[in-house]
Amino acid sequence: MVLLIAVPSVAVCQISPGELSSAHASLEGIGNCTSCHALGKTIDDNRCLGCHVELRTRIPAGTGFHGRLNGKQCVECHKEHFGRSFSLVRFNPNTFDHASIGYRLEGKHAALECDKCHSPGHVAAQDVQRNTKLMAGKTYLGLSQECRTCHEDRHRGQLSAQCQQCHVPDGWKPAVRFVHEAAKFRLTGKHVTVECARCHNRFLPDGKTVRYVGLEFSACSSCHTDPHKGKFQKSCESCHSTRGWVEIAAGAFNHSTTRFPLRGRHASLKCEQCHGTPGRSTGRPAAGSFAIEKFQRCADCHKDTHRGEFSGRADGGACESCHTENGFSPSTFAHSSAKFALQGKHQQVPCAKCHPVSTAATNGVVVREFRVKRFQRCADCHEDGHAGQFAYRADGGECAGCHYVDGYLPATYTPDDHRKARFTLTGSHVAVPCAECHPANTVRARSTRRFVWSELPKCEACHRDVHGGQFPAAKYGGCASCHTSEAWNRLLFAHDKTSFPLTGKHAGVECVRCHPAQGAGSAAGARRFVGTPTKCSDCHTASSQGSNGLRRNQ
Amino acid sequence: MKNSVHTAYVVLLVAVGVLGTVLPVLRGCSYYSTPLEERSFHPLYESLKPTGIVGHGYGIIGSLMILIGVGLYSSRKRLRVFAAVGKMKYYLEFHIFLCLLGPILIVYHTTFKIGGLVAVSFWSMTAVVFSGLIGRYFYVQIPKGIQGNELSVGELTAENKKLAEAMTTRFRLDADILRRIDAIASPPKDPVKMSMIETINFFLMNDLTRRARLRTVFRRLEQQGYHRHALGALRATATRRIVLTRRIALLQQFRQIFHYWHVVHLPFSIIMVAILLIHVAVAIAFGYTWVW
Repeated sequence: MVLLIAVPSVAVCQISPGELSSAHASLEGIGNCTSCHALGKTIDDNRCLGCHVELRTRIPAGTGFHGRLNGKQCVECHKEHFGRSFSLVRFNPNTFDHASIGYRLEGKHAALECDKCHSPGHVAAQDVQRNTKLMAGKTYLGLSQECRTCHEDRHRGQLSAQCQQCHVPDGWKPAVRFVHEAAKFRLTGKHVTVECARCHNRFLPDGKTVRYVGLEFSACSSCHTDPHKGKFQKSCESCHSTRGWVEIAAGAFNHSTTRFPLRGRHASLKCEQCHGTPGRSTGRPAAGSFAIEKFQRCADCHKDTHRGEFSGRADGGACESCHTENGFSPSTFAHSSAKFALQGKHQQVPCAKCHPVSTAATNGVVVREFRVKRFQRCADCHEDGHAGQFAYRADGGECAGCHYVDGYLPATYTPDDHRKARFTLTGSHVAVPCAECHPANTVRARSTRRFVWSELPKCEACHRDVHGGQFPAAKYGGCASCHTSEAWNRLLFAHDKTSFPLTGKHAGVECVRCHPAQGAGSAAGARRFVGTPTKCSDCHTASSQGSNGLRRNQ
Repeated sequence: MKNSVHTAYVVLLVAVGVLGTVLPVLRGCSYYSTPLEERSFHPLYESLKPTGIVGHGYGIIGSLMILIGVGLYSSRKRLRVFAAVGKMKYYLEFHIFLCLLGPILIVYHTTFKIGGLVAVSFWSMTAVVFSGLIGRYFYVQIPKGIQGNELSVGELTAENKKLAEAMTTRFRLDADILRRIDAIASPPKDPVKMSMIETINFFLMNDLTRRARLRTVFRRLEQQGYHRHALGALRATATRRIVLTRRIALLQQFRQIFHYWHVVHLPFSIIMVAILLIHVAVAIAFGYTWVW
């Protein structure tokens, strides 16, 4: 009975409720209870941390997994006295939330096995490194969140140790977080789309590490060759921007420094209108480039809308002879240099009036005929307003004979010229307005003035016979036989040629006394002249009143 | 105590005992069936572990029940001041109740994980319980009076004689049948010469085979025309006769066996209590104070 009691007591001479796990096997025995148990306090965490010193600093610091357990006691997770094979740490890597320790596994990190990172070679914490037992076994302590803990610094210290500033766990390339604005050289315009390697094409002395810092970038020429070969003696930025070489800053490039200064409307053109756009051929050499070999003549760029009309000129039809860079229209053409000098009102005539649009096929381009073949005569351009009345003349009725380029009216046809006409203007005829003798009429179905008659018009053609046909022209020779063009009352009439010559006192008698007006309301010229009684008694009466005896005839 | 009250009292004890045994199982079956290494991760671990609010309670209540059960019964048996306070029988019943249920609660307190010094107490407790069950078996083989005192052989013989007379007069059994019935109770050899193991073996076998052997006898009575009801009453009387005859024959041996039983039951009880007290002291010293 004693043995029955003693043997078990000796064999299990301890108050432990069960064997300790293999990790704590060294603490087995009644003398080691207080290694973990504090009297009156169940399990004291300080006893645990007395051995697990690496956690003693990390828990108060709130770092790592144990530091984020919000004061949980050790014994709440780590039980004991369940035998040697009991695992103190129940850890499932597949379900463990890595974010709970302050480092979320993202991107490629999420697919890694734990020991890829948690390996002795990656332990950075010195206190963990000193613990040979931890280092020999499997520990998750001691890693730093710095990328270089596990990853090689491919930049060899050129850049910040904070790799995550540029890179993401999804992969090193591309460095999606990298913003060039953080660098001294800010990427703008087309620089933004340039592949990194285009600029960063230099290496460190090892020949393998791309150089990212220490690159020369202050001037464009650090990377770009100067196609102008220094000709402009200015910085690239003065004309160019990073938006593209072809996009010149407004007013930045002084075209005057080139062999073709931009004047007039050339100055308002867009560069690509002359220099083409990249990728789009303009037919000129090196589309999109600025070097234009042929530019000296207008025709090098501009199509001859005159279609060679002036090619026969001495200058070969050079545009600049008539046009300026201020625009093709109006031209500077001096008509005086032409065979037909513009004078008078011709100067005010729009070119298009004389130079019509060509009727030839012009593919929609307005082309005018400037070389007028027929211009020598007015009639080449002007319609004969006289309906060919003057065609009989030696000059064929040329307008210039009477008209001047200053205008049709007044005509240059003077009364002096009229004297050379078949109807010589003399006397009062000179003062008569042309229109009175030459009224509007219809000549050859045209409304015009008659200037030419087939026969010279007689006085009656214009003047009313105030004598009431007393003097037929066939008998008396017309008005001109008595009258002159000076005035009606300037008579050529010689009474002597009548059947009643005026003699004696008759010669001093006024005409109207013998030839009174006929009838009431008669015109002044309505006097009897022919058939005036010639007997004395026809005019005189035997009166004693001292008169001369003339009967006054009513 | 009236029989009805006693019956109710016993039923109550049985009910409490059954509930106290079954309910913890129903509550913690999944926990107790979990492998040891996995238990700390079971949702009921914190409450059912030995230091948990429920598990620790099992231990405290179970221990108190054992201490009270042992203390009361021992006091009633040994202390004169308790000699006249209630019948021994009732103290024994209460002792059995407390010292059966208490250990069961202790088992739940251990969560079926036995180790350390307290394991000695546990196994001692187990030995005490099982020895108690055996002792109870032996105890009833020693007839006692109302006050619990042992009856003498003369008293037992007189009672046995009354039973024989009842069987012959009331049931009109012939001598042959009576002899057959008595043969069932007779040991194979002189009880004085039987060893303790032979005595126990005879008793166990007799208890196991008594019914079958009696049935054989009663089949003959049926053939003789005995009515079933009469045979039922006769069977009870015959059984009492067999048991009493057996007890009378082996009374001395059972007294000896019971004496030796105490040698097991008592020391283990002492060891159990002693180590229990150490276990409790250590637990309190290390801060496991249950609800305090």
